[in-house]
Amino acid sequence: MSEQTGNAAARACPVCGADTEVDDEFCEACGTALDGTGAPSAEPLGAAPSGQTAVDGAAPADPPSADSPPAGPSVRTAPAGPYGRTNPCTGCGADPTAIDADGYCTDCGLLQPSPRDHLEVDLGWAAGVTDRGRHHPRNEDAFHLEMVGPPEEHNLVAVVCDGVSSSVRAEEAAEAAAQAAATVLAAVVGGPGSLADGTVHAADAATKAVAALPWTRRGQLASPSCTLVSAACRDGEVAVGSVGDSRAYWIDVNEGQVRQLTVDDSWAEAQIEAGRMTEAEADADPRSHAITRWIGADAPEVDARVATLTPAGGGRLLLCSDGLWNYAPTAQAMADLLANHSEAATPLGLAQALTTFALGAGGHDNITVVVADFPAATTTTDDEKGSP
Amino acid sequence: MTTFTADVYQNEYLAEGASEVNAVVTVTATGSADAPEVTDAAEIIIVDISGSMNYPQTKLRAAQQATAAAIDCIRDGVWFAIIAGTRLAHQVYPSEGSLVPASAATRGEAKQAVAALQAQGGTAIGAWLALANQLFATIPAAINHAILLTDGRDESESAVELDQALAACQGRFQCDCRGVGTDWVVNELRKVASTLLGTVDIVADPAQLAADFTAMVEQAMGKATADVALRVWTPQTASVNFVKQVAPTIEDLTAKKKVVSDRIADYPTGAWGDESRDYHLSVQVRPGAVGDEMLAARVSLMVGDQAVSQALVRAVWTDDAQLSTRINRAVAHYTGQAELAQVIQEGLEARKSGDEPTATLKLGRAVQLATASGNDATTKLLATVVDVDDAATGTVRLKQRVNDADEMALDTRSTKTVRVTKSAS
Repeated sequence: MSEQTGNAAARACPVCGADTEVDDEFCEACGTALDGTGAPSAEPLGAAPSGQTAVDGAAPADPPSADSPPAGPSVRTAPAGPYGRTNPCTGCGADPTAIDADGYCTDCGLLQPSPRDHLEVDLGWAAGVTDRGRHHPRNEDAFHLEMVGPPEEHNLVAVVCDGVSSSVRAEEAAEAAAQAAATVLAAVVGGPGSLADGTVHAADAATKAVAALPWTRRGQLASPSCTLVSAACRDGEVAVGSVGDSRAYWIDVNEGQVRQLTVDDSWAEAQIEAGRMTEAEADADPRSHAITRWIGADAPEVDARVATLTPAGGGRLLLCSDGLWNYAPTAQAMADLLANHSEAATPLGLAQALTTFALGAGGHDNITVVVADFPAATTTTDDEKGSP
Repeated sequence: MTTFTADVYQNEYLAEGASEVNAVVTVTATGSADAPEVTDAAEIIIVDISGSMNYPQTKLRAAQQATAAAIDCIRDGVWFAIIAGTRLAHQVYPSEGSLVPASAATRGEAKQAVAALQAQGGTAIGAWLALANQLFATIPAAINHAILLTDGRDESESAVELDQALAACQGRFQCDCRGVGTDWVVNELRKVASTLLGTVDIVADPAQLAADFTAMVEQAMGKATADVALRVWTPQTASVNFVKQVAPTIEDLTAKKKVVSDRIADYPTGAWGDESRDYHLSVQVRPGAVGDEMLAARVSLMVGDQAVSQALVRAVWTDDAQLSTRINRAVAHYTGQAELAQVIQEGLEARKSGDEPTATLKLGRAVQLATASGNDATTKLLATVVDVDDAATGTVRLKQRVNDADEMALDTRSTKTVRVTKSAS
């Protein structure tokens, strides 16, 4: 029972009801902008979730600004519930005052939409979208996207984590892992150290952060766990790390080729690697999706898988959770899918289009898509690095 | 200061269209032992002195010794009184119509009064409880506890009179019941104990009474928090199938609910010391769509008007059969333990009425359940009633000669459960 110290009057986040400080720009709990405008931040992104802007309930194809933000002054006049809710219950239509601190309707019990249900981040040449999908009550995916240095240098950190739904507090695990890994990677990209080593350290930091989450056992659910796929990009070099079954792809824009950079830590992949099954056989098995490695206190202590590349030509980096690639499991299927969305010119446009595609294909899982564009190698960096 | 925690064990994932939500809530109280000793408590011991207590005479003497031993365990300052029961209720100590605080002097006087008791007359349990209720009402103690000892059937009053007395006493005090010998009726005493949130057991051998009484009073003295209730909130379209205590014993609380509002009801759990109990909650909800999450119940632990801990019982609809078909071990275990108690009682009932095929079937199932769940105490008791051919399949033969005390012990202790180990699968 700690007491509030200092005389800064706390106020409740208008979306999730968490306590915030007067000078907080964003809610620490849900990321809602607290500046009274709710407008998306144009700042280069710092630590998540401050840079991630909630677009409450917006369809992924909608531009973020088209939807009325949840915390804007225009909605302040609406009768807000004790926990800042301004929308009636999506199940029974009960008054906003009926929504409790945990987000449940006190009339019909239905869990109300969360700002985390759909989030978008747009950095121009890099963008990310995450969506709850159609079948899960919560979005247990999280991502973190951060530019390091001026935009023209194209130095970037991107992390996508997918909370394991058979673990407790999966969404918090994903959030904590993405944030911890990104913090380490941002320092690595900003310094001279090896990107590959930094990628391993980042996954270790994510494991520590998830292991530090307080949790209580619930039935047969495991301790908080998630997957992780990261990308650290500096001066034309890209290091990709992965634990679990979230993926990274490199899209050669000129040749239209799609290369999967990661190897799934999954039951199916283990069968294929051991030569016990063909890809088709393994994918058809009900156990195919069981992951063999993850981020969490009870995870096997193995380094993250790391792949590095120094693409000479321009291209696109794609990170995603299985909520997307389940509908395009092979590199060829992903290439076909991307070819069908070639009209999406911007990273945000592509991330939105792929999310919409996954929702249309069923939206069976949470969906996260991060896209970053890299220009053809420029002379300065290439000369310095001596890249091929 | 006593601290309460409530933990939920459930598989919240339901298949599309499913509407039954089950959860086990474990409530644990700690820190009572470190708190200052509670003297805001009252203890009444009710001893049967009907004529049958003289047959054999050791019964009355053992009851007197047990009562004396129990009196010695009553902490200084705790209010107490002794009632002797025949067809009427007689206040044995103190002589006036109230209770006295325990001290060396009052304990000594009480023991003298108990030693002078003579057995004669009938049995009217309702009348005894009514006097206890009247006495408790004269003092302001927070935790009221009684012990009732009888050796016979409640024959000097009608069943209606007993029910009326029980209704008047419910919620006023808790009562642990003991039957000595084999001439009392298990169902009768179980009803008294169940209504008054107490335990029931057989003390077949009068020589065991003193140890049993001492244990009961010591446990009563360990209670630090009075009148704890489980408050269950359910959504407007939901209904509660049942709320059962499932450990340490099965006790169905469903009918004991006190309605707070159309969505909230309180289920009384009595007084608590440092202990842990499990509750099985089953709620019927209106099915949601795939991807919906519903709060199926919010279980709050109420001490007076204060919610000291709470637990959320959730329902999440999924089309992932791997999630929805997963069986929660705690729920499965206690569903089995509840069935175990039921088939024992039904099996013994069938045996008494001469329906041997049903008795064999039910008690066979009981052997199977008790063995599979590791309920060794019940397995042993069952072996006094049936010969086991194969525990795994529940193949048994009824014993032709069964000791009455063994049969009654099996009956009274049928509700004792073993706890589930709740480590991850």
